Order: sequence, then structure tokens, then C-alpha cells
Amino acid sequence: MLVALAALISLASAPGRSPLCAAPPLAPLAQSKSSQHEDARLGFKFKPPKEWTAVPLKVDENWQVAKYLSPREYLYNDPQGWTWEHKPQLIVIAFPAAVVEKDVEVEKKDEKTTEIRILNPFKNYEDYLARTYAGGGYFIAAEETGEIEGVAVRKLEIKVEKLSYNGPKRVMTWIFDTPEIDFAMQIEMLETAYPKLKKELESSLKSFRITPRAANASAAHNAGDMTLSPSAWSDLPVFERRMRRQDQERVLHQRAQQNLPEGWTVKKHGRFLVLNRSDDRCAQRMVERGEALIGWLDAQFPFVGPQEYMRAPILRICKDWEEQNAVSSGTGWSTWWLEIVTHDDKGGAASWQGQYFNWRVFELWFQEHDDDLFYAFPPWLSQGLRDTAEDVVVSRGKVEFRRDSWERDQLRTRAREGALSKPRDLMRLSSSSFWDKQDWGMHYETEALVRFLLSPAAQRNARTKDVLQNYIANLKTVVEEIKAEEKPAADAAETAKADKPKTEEEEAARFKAERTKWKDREQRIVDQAFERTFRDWSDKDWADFEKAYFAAQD
Amino acid sequence: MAQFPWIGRVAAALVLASAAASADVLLLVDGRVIDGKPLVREADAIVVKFENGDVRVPSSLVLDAVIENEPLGEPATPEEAEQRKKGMVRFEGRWVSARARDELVSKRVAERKRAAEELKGYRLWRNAREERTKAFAYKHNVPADVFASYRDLMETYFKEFCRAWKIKTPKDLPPLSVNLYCDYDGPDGFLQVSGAGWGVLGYFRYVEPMDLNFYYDRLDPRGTEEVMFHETNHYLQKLIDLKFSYPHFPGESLAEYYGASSWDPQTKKITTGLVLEGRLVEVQNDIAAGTWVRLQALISTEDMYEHYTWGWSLVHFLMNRDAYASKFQKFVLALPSAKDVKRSSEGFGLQTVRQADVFEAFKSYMGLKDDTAVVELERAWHAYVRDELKVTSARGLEQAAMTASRTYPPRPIRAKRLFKEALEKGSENPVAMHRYGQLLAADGEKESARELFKKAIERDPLEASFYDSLASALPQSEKDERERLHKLAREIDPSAFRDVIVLR
Repeated sequence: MLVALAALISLASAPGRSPLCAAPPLAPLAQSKSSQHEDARLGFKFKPPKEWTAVPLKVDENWQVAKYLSPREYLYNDPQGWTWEHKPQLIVIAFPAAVVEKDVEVEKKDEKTTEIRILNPFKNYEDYLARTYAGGGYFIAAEETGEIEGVAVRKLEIKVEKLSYNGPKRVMTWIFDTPEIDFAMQIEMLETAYPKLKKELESSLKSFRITPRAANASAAHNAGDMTLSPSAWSDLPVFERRMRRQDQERVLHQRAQQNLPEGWTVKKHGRFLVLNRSDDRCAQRMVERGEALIGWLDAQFPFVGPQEYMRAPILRICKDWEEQNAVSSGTGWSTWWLEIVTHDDKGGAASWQGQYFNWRVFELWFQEHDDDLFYAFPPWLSQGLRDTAEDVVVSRGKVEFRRDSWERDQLRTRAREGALSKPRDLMRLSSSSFWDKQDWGMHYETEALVRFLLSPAAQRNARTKDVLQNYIANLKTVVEEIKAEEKPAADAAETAKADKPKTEEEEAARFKAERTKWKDREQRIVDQAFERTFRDWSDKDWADFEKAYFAAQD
Repeated sequence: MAQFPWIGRVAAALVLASAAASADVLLLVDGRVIDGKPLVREADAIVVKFENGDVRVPSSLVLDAVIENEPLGEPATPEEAEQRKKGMVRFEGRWVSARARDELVSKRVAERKRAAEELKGYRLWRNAREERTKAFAYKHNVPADVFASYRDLMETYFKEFCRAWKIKTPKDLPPLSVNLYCDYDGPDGFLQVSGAGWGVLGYFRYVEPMDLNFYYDRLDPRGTEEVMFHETNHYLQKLIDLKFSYPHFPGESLAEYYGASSWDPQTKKITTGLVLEGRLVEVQNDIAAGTWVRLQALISTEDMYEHYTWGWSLVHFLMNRDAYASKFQKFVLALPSAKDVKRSSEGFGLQTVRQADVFEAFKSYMGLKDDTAVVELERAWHAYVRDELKVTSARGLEQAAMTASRTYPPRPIRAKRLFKEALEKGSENPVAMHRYGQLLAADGEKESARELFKKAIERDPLEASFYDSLASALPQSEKDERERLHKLAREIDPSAFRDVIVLR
């Protein structure tokens, strides 16, 4: 594969990803009633295929207005001998003329400030598809026009052939053209399922009707000032930030509960708002684990953002993996900060979903308390804590850190090959140096190190008992100091812009300095946190530590 | 297509204006189509009558122009004037009545319009054209001429590589599926149909069903060739042993080495192993930032981006040194099957070699007996990069200038110097002129910038961004002209300005 350097630059700019867009302006006011889906506000109805289930839309979804999932999985056998499963999915997307044509929003905040928001909306269905479809390379294989009860319809047959995710697929889309809103009804399925499903799906597509809509429905767009990022309002006093976060939590929870399809329950479990399609016991187990983890984090790291308000996460438990995928797909992304979407894979804490849930709780806790600190974690801590958190089990309300057998085997292999890193070498690696090594085995080492620091062996030793807490406290101090240093430097940067290099040599020198600046900053944080934590450790202390650490890996 | 010989060379089309306000159609040699705008024929150009101004397109860029009700020009000779009085006009070398001529022209216009519509349709992947040779099964939605040149190139390249590396293709090997797309990110272009992620320029799928995908960049056909050589080389590496997947080094580096090949369409001869100036520029950029990639790190690290850049320079060095060339080739050929190379499973029934083991094999086959020998080879390679590899061509200078202007932090002084040198070397690249002009404009050198924008427009009069930049570089006093050019740019290509908002 040939990759341009540009590939290293993030180009994500899909609409609806703006953190400002948290409201679902097009969320339907009505949902499915057994065999008919009706949306009185936007003015449409259709008959979903028999027994297909409605899928909740994202809280910040701006374009998709209805979603259904087939109950049946279809299979694709690839030439390499793998079998892939896929459930057909139906999505209705609305393109209101008032939104499609609005490229920019200008808001005069005060005499000096005018905020200009570049919206870059989808222009039509083809634009939407080009900017959102992630199922593989596609092309429109056939196109025809028609009319249903006086409404012009464009019918597209789309084939997904190259690099297709879990098999070649077919997408049937009918676009209903009305003066105020165009509706695209899209059904995606495996190519192998198409012949079997075609007739039934066409019948569903044919059932789409335009109905009277609520006044001003298409222009009802009020994204509002609601960014869910934990770093929002970081400049405000703690109390005000707390008030805003609480308001936001209330609004978000309210929206998440609106228009839930049949079969979903809503319950506040502890600090989690649980939207559930699985059984209540599953929710209970997850929440108990989540609460225990949060309690453990509160107790271990009381110095991390003690005054911050931790917003209550939304825990969405889907029926299965396909439904989780369907719920997670869409054009909004801001709820990532506060929502955990998972499903009951019946595997408990050790399953993939159990591990994912554990890690998300850890992540949300650190983000909500101090995201500057969290993003400054060096790889031994970020990777190590992540992997350790994934393997957590809760027994009688107590958190236990377990080692999985795969990790144990990997570490033994590395030990045999003499490839195990010394802990102090691992702790001195910045992200850049860690990733430059491209050594996947080091991930197991980071987990081993963090888990060792939490182990009874390390907890019994006075030297190592508080190493993890001390390290994180020191890291926090270093990050705060550097941030404070950079504040005036940011103003200086403005001055420096005016003082541009005048010769190619000066320009080359500045280029070199800037290119290494970020790496140097990362390394400085790592070095200083290390130095402050271990400055009074002797060689013997390190030798004892390494002996105990390596012994624990056997 | 035989019934439309005058446009038989065209295959694909980019519809810039679909509103059928006018029935005239302009077909460009690079595959673009302008329709819905009135056209006027001049002696050496076609003038497109946009609402916001005329755009003159030189005949050299025009493949065909279909103009309805095209008026007769002034008689060019006394004989023509005399015949005109009798109601006769010269048409295709003979005198015919004006009516007969009109009927014939009208019929041909209708045929040409039908053909133009058909050609526009070929841009749709569902109508893509196919051609099969012994080695490759092609599918494409580019102009026929463009396709023909890449087809010839691939066929010759295939033979040349198999000869140089003594590859025998299995008798029952089916032709490789090759897909050539009309552009990068447009409708039915490379990203959409091939499913590649943003930033990927081409790919070879090395498991069944194998296929090769790349696109035609009308603004950088040489770049298209480089990508094609590179991706085809992956297939050729695959032919060394179908059950083996070459590791990232030397796989990508070798593919880059063959990416720098040149092709003479007249003699149909290929020259390989040239300096890949685009990659050299990246290496030089790293050096400017203080990074010299070490030999051991390069070879023993998995999936390094530097395998494309520094890896290329290493292969170039080794292949250009008599002392190393044959050893290096032996090393490459040994990886799939030699007994002394440690291999591991890649999945999909394929074997590969992990980079750490590649380094061991490299040392062994290159005769590097200890660390000192490794360091010596590294020194020689670094000296080669520093002292012998130079960016010399106008295109290389343009690439270096582009990189300097777009890197972070940008290096505009260096970029301007390199652009200037590229122009002095005869660069005719309108994109380079445009970027150079933008840098000058940013420095307040508006007059020089305007000259460059105008030159760029002369070379590609239907590139909307050039008009937009020219508008921005005009003095405030020329408010009307600024506005007209901004509007003209958006009329030429509305999609190019979706995200751009002029703020005051």
C-alpha cells in the first residue's frame, strides 16, 4: 500500500461531529407502532420489514431519523475460509432544504465577538454516503426514477465490493424528493442475502409515504451551546463549571430517554443511567462493577480533581453486537464523552464487553476529574492502566486485579527471549519513543508493571507501596507546572509570529526546533515525573524492585 | 466506438456544469467535460461563455467541441468569397451547398452529442471499460488515451521486471485484476470505489481475490506512474513466491525503488532505478529536522513509514553499488525460501519474515559480520544520501518546494527559492505556479503573485482555485473584478468551494 504523508494528518471533518451539535433536531417525535413507523413531526411513515426491530438513534444525531435492524443474521464465506455474519439494516436519512443549504451560522456574541460556525452539511444522499459510509468501496450499479403517490423517487442500487467489511454488500436506497425535505430510505445487506430479501425489502420501500408534518419541522435546528468534552469550561471557576456540568447531565439524560423504541427499559442504577435491551441482572452486574471501580479510583487517587463534578455516565446495553454497532453508527460523536455502549455477551467481567466496560469506566473517571493529567500519561501508565483495568473483577464489592493467561504466556516468551524491559527503562519512555519501537510485546509489559505495583507483594513493601499514587501525583504537578509555563509562552508565540525568520538558515533552525518541541515536551514530562518519584531510590532499591517484579512474571 | 472516430480516444468525463442551459459540449484531453455553457470557436482556442466571464481554452487542451448552430466565419480567401456568393461553402476539402453542409454538420453534431453523453457515462464505474491481456485484466473509467499509455507501461514493466529478477510466472496464473480510476476523491473515483482510506494513493490486495488499484491524477500524471510502478511491483514481488508476503522492508522500499522508473512511449522502453525525488525530499526534510534514520532501526522495525523514504534511499544505494547490488538481490530472493532465513506465518496461508529476522538475514547476505560492519555500511549509505542523491529536475524541485510550503512548521523562504529554481528549469506546472503565487501573495508581493496566477490560468484555464487566488490578489480598488473572479471560480467548480467562506 502506498500512503501519502498526508495520511498521517487527521482529516475527520464529517458534519455533526462538531461538539456544539449535541441536540437531535430531527429526532422523531413518534416511533414504531408494531408494524408501522410514523414520524408526525417530519411527516413520513413506512412499514418496516416484518419482525425488524427499531434501533435507538444517537442523542446527538442530526441526520438519521429512523433505524431498524433485521432479526436474522446472514453469512458470507470469504475465499480465505472465514465466515462473516451480517444483519441487514434500514436507515431513513432526512435532508431538510433549510439545513442542507445552510453552510454557515453567524452569531454576534457581543460588540467585539462574532462567532462563525462552519456547518458544511450534507448536500444530498450521495454526499452523505461519500462522507459516512464505512462498509467498503462502493459504486452506484443502477439508478432509475419513478413516482409514488405524486412524490418523485430516485431508486439506487449500490454495490459494495472492494475492501468490504464482512463481505460484499448491496445497498438499496430510495430517495423521496419533497419540497422541504428529501428522505433517503437505505437498506444495507450482504450481497448473498440480496436475492432472498429483495422482494420483501422493496415492499417496505414502496410503503414509504409523506404525511402532514409539524409546522417548521425542517428548520427546527437548535444545536445550542452544549459541548460534552470534559475540557469545556476549564477556565471557569469550579463552582460554575459544576453547575454547567450538572445542567448538561440533566439535559443529556432527558434526551437519551426520549423516543426509546419498544423493548428498551430506562433505570437509574447508582450513578449510571441505564438504557437496557438486555435483562436487568446484566445491568445490575455491570453497574455494581462500575460503582466498585469508581469507588476504588476515588479512594486510590483522591488528589486527582477532587472538586470536579463527575457526570453520571449513560450505560446503553444492547441486545447483541450487531445492535451495538447499529446504535454506535450515525453522524454524531459528542456523546462519546459520557456514554458507554455495550451489549451482554454473557461472558461476565472477563469477556470482551466486560473488559471494554471496565476500561471505559476508568477512562471516564480520569477524563472527568483531570483530562490534562490523563492525556499526559506516559505509555507505561496509559497502556498499563488500560490493560489492568480491563482485567479487573469485583468480588463482594472489592476490586481485584487479575492476570489473563494470554498475557502471562506472552511475558514468559519475552522472558525466555531475553526481551523483557527493565521497569525503569519502560518508565522513561515517552509516547513517541514507545511507539517508535513498534514492539507489540511491550504492551504486555506495561500491564505487568502496573499490576505489579497494585499487587499484594508491592503493597507490602514500604518502598513500592505508594509508587503508583506518588507517580501520578508527581505527574500531575509536572503537567500543571508546564501548563503554567506555557501560558505566557502562548502570548510570546504571537510576538514570534511577527518576528518571522528572514533567511533560509533562520527558517531551518526554527523548523528543527519546532519539529522536536513536542517530543521534547513529552520526554520532559516523563523524565521529571520519574525523577521526582524515584529521586531517593538507590541502586539496591532498584535491584530489589526488579528482582521482585521479574519473579512475579513467572 | 468505431462509428465516432473523432472522439474514439475519449473515455471519461467530469461534468462541471450539468444545467443544460446550452447544448454545447467541450471535451478536454484529460477527460473533463464542460457542458451547459455556450462555446465559441476561435482559431487556436475554444471560448467558454460562463455567466461571470469568458474562459479561453487553448486548442492543445481540447479534444473536441460540439457547438450547435456554429456560424460561418469570414471567408479566408478570394476563392472562398467567390464560392460563398454562389451559396457554396468549403467543407472537408470540397465545395458543397450551405444547406448540405448544415445538414451534414447538424447530423454530426447530433452524433457527437450522443457520443459525448456516452463518454460521460463511462466515468460511472458501472459503465467502466474492460480489457484483458495475458498478465492483467484491466477495468477503468479514464480517457482511452490515458488508459492505453498505462496499459502499455504496465505490460512492458511486467516483462522487464520478470526478466531482471528471473521470475517465471505459473502457467495457470490468471491475469491480475487492475482497476484504474478517473480521480482520487470524486464520485466514482479511487477512494469511493476501491474502499481505500484517506491518504492511501494506491493498493495491491495480496490475498484472493487479488487486485491492484490506483487512480489517474490529471494534474500529476508522473505521480500516477510512480504509484502504478510501486503497486505493480508488489504484485511482481508476489510472483517471486505466491505463498510468501514480503515484509514491509524490503517490500515497500523495493516497490519505491521501482516507482522511480521512466517510460518512453515512443520506443516503449523502461528505465528503472532513477532518483525518486519526492521521497528524497522527505528524507532531506527529516535531515533538516535533525533525524538520521539508523540502519538497524530501519530494517528491524515493523511497519515503519520510513520504509518508503529512507528505505527507498537504502535500496537505491545498494542497487547502485557493484559491491552490494547482487548481494542485495540475493537477500531479497532468499527471504521466501532460503533455509537459513527464519519465517513465520502471516495468516491467509502466507509466510513472511519478521523485521528482526529480516535484519539477521540482511546481515548474513550482505556479509556484515559484526556491529562495526553494520556501522560502516550505515556510514556509506548516509554519505550517499548526503552527497550523491540530489533533487535536480524541475519536478523534483517543485515537489521539494511543495513539501517545504506544506510541512509543519512551513518553510516559505525555502519553498519560494525552490519554486523559483523550478521555473528557471522550465517548470510548466500550473499547480506549482499557483502555490508559488500564494506564498508571494502572503508576503505582500501581490503583483508577482498575480503574474503567476495568470500564468497558471493560461496553462489550465478551467482550474477554479486559480481564479479565486487571482481575485484575492487584486487590489481593493478593483472590487468589481475581484467579485467577478470569485464568482467565476465558483461557477467553474462549485464543489471546490464548499468549505470556503470569505470573512471580513
